[in-house]
Amino acid sequence: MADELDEAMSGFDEPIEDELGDFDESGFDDLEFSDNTGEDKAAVLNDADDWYRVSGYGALQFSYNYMQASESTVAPGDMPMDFSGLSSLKLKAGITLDMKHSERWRSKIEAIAWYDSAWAIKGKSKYTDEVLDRYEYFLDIKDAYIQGSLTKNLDIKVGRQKVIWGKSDSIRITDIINPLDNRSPGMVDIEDQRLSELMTRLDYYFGDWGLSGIIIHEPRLEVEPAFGSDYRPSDTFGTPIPYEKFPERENHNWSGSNMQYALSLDGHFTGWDMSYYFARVFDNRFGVEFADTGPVRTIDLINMVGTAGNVALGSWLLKGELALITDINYRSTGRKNRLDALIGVDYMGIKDTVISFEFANRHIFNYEEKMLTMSIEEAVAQSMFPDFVREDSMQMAFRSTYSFDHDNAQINYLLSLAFGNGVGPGFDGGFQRLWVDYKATDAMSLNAGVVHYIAGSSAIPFYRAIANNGRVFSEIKYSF
Amino acid sequence: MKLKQIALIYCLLMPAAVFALTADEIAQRVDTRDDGDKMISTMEMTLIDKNGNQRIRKMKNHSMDKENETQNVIFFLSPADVRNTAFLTYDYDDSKLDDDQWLYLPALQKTKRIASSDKSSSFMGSDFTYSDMTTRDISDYSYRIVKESKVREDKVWVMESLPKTEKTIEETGYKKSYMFVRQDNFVVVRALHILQEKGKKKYLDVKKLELIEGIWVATEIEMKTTQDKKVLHKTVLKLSDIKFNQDLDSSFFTVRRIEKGL
Repeated sequence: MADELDEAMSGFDEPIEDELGDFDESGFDDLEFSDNTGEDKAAVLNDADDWYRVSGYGALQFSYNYMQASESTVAPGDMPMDFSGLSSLKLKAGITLDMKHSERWRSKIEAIAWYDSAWAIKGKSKYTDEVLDRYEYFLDIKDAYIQGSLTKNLDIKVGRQKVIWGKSDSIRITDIINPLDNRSPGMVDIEDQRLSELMTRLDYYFGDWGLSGIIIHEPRLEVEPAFGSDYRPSDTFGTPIPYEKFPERENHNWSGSNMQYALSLDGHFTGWDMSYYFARVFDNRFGVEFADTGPVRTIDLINMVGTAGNVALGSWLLKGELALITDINYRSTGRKNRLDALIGVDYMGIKDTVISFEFANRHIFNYEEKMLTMSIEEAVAQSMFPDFVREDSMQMAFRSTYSFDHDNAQINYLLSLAFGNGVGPGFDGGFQRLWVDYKATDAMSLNAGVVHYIAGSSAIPFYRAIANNGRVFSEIKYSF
Repeated sequence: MKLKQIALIYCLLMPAAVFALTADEIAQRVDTRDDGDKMISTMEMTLIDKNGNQRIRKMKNHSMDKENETQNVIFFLSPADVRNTAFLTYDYDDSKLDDDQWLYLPALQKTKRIASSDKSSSFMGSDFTYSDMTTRDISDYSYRIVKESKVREDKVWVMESLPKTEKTIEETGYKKSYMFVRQDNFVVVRALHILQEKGKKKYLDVKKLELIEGIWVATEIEMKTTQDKKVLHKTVLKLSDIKFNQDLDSSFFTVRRIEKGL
């Protein structure tokens, strides 16, 4: 015992003056290395007390399609476009201005922009204008808001912002407020997918609860993949769509009738959290209506009442979500209600590792078979658009993250699969992504990975259509 | 008066051993030592790898004692990619109760509950674990005074601390610890932790101890991880701008506050 202690004690920098026994001091110096605390080397950023702060990043992103055959015939009018090989060589930058006007009031503006040089390298004349419009440039005000406290218990936040609902990390059930940037599904995590909207939000706090009332002024819709691109090839909906051009989506103007509303009640307690939600927001599904000028895609408002909760049990976090969505406009049949439910678990009991599993089921009430089986030809013949939905459609997501090298490196894996009951085989498809994040310095980070799309065998053609989009990708990013 | 004089003489003549504290009493005194309340401080952690490469993490820490718990909010200031991340903890004195922990992730703009009774993971990639950053329930350990010694001229007790259960070992990652408790103020100025992994040890050394507003505060702490006498990694934790009895109340230690930011 004494030997063990004495030997171990030799690890301190300075000897311990021992009154009771002998000490082996020989090891002290051996265990030393640089004693420099690094104050002169690494940048310590501004103090939190500064009234404003500018931060941002610059990044170079690269992706390469290793699956797609060259000269894929996927565009409308059989225009061959080549999505093989280099998919993206993107210069991306983001800048954020945080301002603290007083203890009660603060504001934030964040903008991002990117330019993808891959299209110029491969020859822009080989791609449709729609593809280039959607994938060559992008500029977005991600956040632009002012927030403050009106009273001790009442906060207000006005401006472009995000509101994240629910407890799940990979599957959206109650998280329906902000639209998504879905140009490259599977390639980006949800945190980079949400699009901010102009809202006015009031939060009232009492006890362990917070009540939020939200008015969404901006009728912003999902950013979709370009028609004819590798993420929306012309056979996305089965046989090629009989349109030269994919129907335009109707524009929603800023009017009272397009205003969206949301209400939530959130509670945080010892060992568990609970939330209740109500929202009237735009659906992310579209239908096609035939106007005088031709077919137009329409987006409807839906109502959602939902709840979400989680319970911590040791190293387990159990999660659940439930959402009743009413008035969904299924084009093949008419309006119906749907119940979405999710159960999930996070396990954090393995050192430096998080494992997460989520399972969701979406059940359509008063289901009719033609909601799945109606083909695009049949639908168009009846001036409709097919729904391609099952009575019960299921989704599962498995996610695992392992941190190592003192949190400088992370290995991440995500598997997302969709399947369900209905006519024909039930496996719709999915994707899996494996990637590594590495922090080379405090400011410089790298990542690299691979994404693989899994073709399904069911009546739903989406995953089969994008099955050849497998990519390897990497990024180098400098943050300041 | 006469009785008091007799008592004093009696006490002075008695062998010192009679007045010596037991190991459990020392542990109790360490636990109940006044470590201040409603504290705000700036923390700077320098992570140094075996090649001398350094990373710096800067944080603003706020803590407040409640009846049977300590509430804590940490706002991360740097590096840039983690700025505005915030960590809220309710650390319950009773070790049978798991801490409540919420993490606000600014990139997601979402607060996530963290469920982890395992506190052996690294805190922010440093050599400190989550168990090092929270208070120990002294009833989870048995104590023994190994010997008396001196650390930088100050007399210390060298105390052995043994977890009573496998659960505590699993949660902290430490199968045994030696703590050097200063005899004049009951501050742990050094500690040696024997890890579960074979040959791994951690050395905690308080390099700077200051008396601030009448409270002893370790303002510079070094934690070194070694294996077979080789240093694997080292962290220097510095505290500055330390203030006690600040205008903090329960409304500060809430999810609302971590989402709002500093």
